Amino acid sequence: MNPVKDAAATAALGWAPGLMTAAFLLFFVGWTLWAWWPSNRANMEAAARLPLDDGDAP
Amino acid sequence: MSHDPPTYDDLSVRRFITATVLWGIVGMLVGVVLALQLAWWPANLGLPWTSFGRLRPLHTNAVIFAFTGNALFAGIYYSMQRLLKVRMWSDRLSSFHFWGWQAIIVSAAVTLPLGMTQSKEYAELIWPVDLAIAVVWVAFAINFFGTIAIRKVRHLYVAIWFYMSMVITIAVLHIVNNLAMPATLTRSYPVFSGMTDALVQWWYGHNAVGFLLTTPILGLMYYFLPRAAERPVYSYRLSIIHFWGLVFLYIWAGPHHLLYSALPDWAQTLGMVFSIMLLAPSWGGMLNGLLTLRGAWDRLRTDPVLKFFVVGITFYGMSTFEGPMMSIRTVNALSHYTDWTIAHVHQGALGWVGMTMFGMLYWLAPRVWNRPLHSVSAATTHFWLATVGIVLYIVSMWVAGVTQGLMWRAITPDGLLQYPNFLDTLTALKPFYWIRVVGGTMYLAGMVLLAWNLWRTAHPSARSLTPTATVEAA
Amino acid sequence: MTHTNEPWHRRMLENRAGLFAALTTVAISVGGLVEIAPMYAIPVDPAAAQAAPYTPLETVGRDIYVREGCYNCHSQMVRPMHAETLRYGPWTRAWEYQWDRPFQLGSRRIGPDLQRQGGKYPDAWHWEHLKDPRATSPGSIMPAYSWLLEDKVDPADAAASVQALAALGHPYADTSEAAVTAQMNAQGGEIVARLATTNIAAEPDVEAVALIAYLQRLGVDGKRALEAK
Repeated sequence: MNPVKDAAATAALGWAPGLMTAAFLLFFVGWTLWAWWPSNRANMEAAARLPLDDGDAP
Repeated sequence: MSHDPPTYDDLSVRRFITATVLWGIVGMLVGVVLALQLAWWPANLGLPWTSFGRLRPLHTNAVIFAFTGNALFAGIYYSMQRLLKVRMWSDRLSSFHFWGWQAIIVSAAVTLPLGMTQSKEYAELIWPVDLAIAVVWVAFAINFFGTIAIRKVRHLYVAIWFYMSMVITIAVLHIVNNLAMPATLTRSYPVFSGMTDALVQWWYGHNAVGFLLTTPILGLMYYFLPRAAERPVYSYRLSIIHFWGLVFLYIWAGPHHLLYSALPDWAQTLGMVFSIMLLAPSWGGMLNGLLTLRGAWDRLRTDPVLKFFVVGITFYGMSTFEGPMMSIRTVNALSHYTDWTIAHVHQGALGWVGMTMFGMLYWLAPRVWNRPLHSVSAATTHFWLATVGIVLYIVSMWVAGVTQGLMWRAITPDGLLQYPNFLDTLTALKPFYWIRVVGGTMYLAGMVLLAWNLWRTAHPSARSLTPTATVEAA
Repeated sequence: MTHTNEPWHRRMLENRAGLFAALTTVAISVGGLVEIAPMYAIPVDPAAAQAAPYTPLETVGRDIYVREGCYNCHSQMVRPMHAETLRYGPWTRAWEYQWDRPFQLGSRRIGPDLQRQGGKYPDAWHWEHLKDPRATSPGSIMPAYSWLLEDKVDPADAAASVQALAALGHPYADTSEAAVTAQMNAQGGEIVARLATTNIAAEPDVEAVALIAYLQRLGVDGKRALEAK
């Protein structure tokens, strides 16, 4: 709770927080694009059915 | 795929279910006693080991690690064997995991009332027990990854991801938060001090909620909901996105437990911002769960399993909306240190965790004991008892929290405190404390009903096994 | 089982449990590291020199505070808000907590905040309050802690606590059991003498005396430093 010191500490970090945010945002966008890529559709649907492939033991 | 159907280890599943029910009753009973102590102080009994300050950690630990922990292990052992089409890697480790975990719970039930505590919330257990937890957890982790290594299905279904995040994260949190210098066999001092200790603790405390009471239960939802509803999850893609969103964002939100404290502002702000962002992946999971039931809503009328799941997931949505809201500084200024927090955690614990686990147990028990559920109507009664109990609990604690928060900050026109005597702000809560006792007792009664129902499912009387007797199908 | 025709991402990631586990570990580590590591880079507040470590008797009292789970109902954190400073006193600075292991901020105020409790009431008030909370605070729902008035502090146990804290860097000149006991007796004797003025006969080595020593110390250094500014 010290505004002056906190501002100084934040400034000392420079570009790092911004770069990190950008990197994680890119990662997220890439991951989302991959998940919704049309050619992945069949794989996704097959994976979703895994629990229903009932392998109950005898 | 092999032609021989694999035989799965369901003995461990049955053991963990039995432990879940027993410890669930103990943990919730202690909760009702605590509620009574706040409404009527003589219930402290004047004894050291029954006083509120010593019993409260027993309640939280029993519900988190004994009730929820055992339920998680039951569900994980059942589902991961079937998702990977292979028996657990080592029966010995499974057995060691079960008995080791129960021994830890028993030692907690003995040490906490004796006042042996580290005082860090949900990490109260003394250092020798912490070491035992680490050993048992590593045994579980070896068995878990061993089973993945010998799996017969290449793709790891999303439920396994959620389980894996629990196995890894709980290990990291537990070790770091419990780093301490022993003074005696039962007492130690943390290597962190003051505000750093508080930050490490709430990094632990918040993420114990995240990775024991949230992600593994979401994993179980992704397995048991499709099984119970007999349809695949609404969107597998959404489950992938919200998995990574959740595990990444969750960790940052710990400082929201320390708003307005002496923690540096930047850390408080990070905690607040990430808590608000957490709403997105949380609701992703909630919507994915609810939408899985598209076209199956009519079954909700007859199937208690789906009833429990729907209410559980709805409470997940509510508490993951309320959580980010309470992380906003101005809201937290009112809610912090009041019963609003208690309402919030019970929304998650009774609503999301409890209801989802009850649904899972009612679905699971007939399958691992190979008999139909003893009574569907008793399960439905349990559902209503629990639902009404939760509503009474949460609403009374909301009102109590806001009432007390407003009384603390009330200022007269002369600039003085309107309620300078703290006790005035506590006495005002008494009616709500009694309503909580009623709500909690109803929830406990439902739990006892579940115990009876599962017991009769596992051990049917001779008469109910005769062909003339009618047995309701699960 | 053939997986040669599987897409690359499946071969690379979701099917490789080890890589997947590693990525998960990275994802869950970033937040904690970014938030916790800088706590060790923050320069020490010069005001911190004004907070002295707890004496052996106060340390034992603190252990009792922890043992009885006082933190379940009492916080130790005055927030920087008008109504809070009116009710409790100056809001808490981080350096005031520097000797607190474990921290005792609490998460629920069923009873009032105790951060500025030191010096607020006489020792006799605390004695009567522990014996029967309703004698001093009508309407209180706090349990009575009558056993604290009789149970004795074990000097060997107290020395073990001081030695463990010394190992963590708390500056104690002499941590031998004899020295710790002598310091406890001296401070406990002062409290017993003050209690005697109100006709309370207390043994110097009962747990309540140690707990009173701790409670009377709470927030005192901080308050003195902040009010001197």
